[in-house]
Amino acid sequence: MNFPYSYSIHGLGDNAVLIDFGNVIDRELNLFIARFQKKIRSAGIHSVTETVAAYASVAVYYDVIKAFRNKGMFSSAQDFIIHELEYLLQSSAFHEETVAGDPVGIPVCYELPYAPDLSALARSRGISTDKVIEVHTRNIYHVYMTGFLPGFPYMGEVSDSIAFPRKQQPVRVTAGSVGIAGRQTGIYPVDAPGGWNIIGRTPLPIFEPEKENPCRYNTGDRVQFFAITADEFKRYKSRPF
Amino acid sequence: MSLSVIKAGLFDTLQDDGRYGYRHWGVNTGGAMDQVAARMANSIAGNKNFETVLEMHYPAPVLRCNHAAVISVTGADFMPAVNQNKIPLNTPVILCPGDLLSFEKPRTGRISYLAVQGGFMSDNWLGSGSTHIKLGMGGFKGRALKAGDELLFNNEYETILSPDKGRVLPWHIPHDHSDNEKISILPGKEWEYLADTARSAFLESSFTISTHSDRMGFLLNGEKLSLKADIELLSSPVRYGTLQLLPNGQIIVLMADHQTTGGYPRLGHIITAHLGRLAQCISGKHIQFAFMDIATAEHLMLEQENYLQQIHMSCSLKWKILYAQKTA
Repeated sequence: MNFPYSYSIHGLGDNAVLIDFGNVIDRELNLFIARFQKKIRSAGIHSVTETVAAYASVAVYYDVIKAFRNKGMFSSAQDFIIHELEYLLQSSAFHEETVAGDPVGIPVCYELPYAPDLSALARSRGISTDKVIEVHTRNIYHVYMTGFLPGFPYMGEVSDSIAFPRKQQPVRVTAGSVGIAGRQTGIYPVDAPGGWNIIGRTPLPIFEPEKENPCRYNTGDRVQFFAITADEFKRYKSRPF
Repeated sequence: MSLSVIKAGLFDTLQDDGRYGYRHWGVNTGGAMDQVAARMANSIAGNKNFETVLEMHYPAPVLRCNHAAVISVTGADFMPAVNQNKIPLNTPVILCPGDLLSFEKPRTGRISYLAVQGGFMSDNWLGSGSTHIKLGMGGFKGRALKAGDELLFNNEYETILSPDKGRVLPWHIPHDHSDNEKISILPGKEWEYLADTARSAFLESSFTISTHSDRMGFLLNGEKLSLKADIELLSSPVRYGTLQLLPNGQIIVLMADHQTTGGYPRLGHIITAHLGRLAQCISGKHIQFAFMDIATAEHLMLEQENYLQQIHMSCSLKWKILYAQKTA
């Protein structure tokens, strides 16, 4: 296989393994990981129970008792699983033609009280708040992963001019808050403590537990933010989705 | 067919073996923190293995039984009592209508489990009755219990047993409530990033569980550990029992309600067979970590599973005989 990334496979405790492709943010690699995750799920390694794909890694959780019964000559169930995954990885094509869909629009109100950290971020970066909004809404972002909280989309990358490190101390963040951490941008689906710099809030529900797929955004989606006023925010909120 | 909450405990939630298959949505597995104790509670009460149980911390709740019921209490010893008469742990107990179940004081352990024969009715979400507090889903209305709540039993179950020969049935499942401070771990991917001095400090010193510990994570006090060099990691998957190193040098152990991915270095992962042991450690308790190899960890997991299966089978048999005698 022509594999442009080196990878390593590690135990993630005694009931999961981690396939790691390095500490890199790369859309093509991320799309490969999303495809590879689906491949693992459909490969029928019958002790595999769950997979979780992240930026540049994928975790495979398995039923140890089932895997143990099938381990054959391997010294542990984990060695057996690693061997199966290695084989699957070697037989996977890295490149695949994909047609990028149109980006999905996400309305965001960048006004107070929805944007508690916007002015501090603008001041620190030496630009106006309007400029931050302009830059944040200009890019089309790729959804790299959902994780941390239910449905939390990790998106990127924001332009360097508005990149900003996480806060030292987490604070209470309201559901729908749109934040920046380094060159990532994300949306809090539920109220939670968090360290991202909050520059706005979307009226859209991000995680809807009753739906068949509760996540509004999934790995591989393309999204673009657009600014709305506080009045529009309230109108969105009162509208059923 | 129900228990009423007279007084709520610190944090009483309905839990089962957890919610599997949805971590890719960021939905953690949740479930009982001490699966061994939760399963034993079910076996002793005559239930199937993974019936929903009530997980309790101290202060624990005061509950009133509204109908004849069979219960069992396992895990931490909070000195359970029925109408202020002490009842044993790990033993089936028959309750009568109006009986009050209370917990006098915490003696050992951190988390206690209450199972009722027939099982508690719970909101099912994504195949599990466990309470997901953040989303307000599953369990009892997606939240911890409050005074005035009524916990219904599945299918209006009511036992035909009556306490004519005493409330406490004459059998007991011994369980060494492993007051063991040795926790085995497997190495995490970022273990190598620790400075040499930090690695030996981690293995040679002991840590205590901070009071800032809950179902999401146990924060450890002890030697501050440092990395060889500062590193900014991308978010990557974690699990129940992952030891993460916080930027201030403290360790946090991710517990049942953990986030699904994280960006802090993963120093190690507690072996599955020792998760219940850690979950039962109270704040201030000293614990010590030691590495184990994967084959031994798997062996211990299988051994624990066999032990629980054996208990389950012998309890099932006892219940079968008891009910056969009753209906004969």
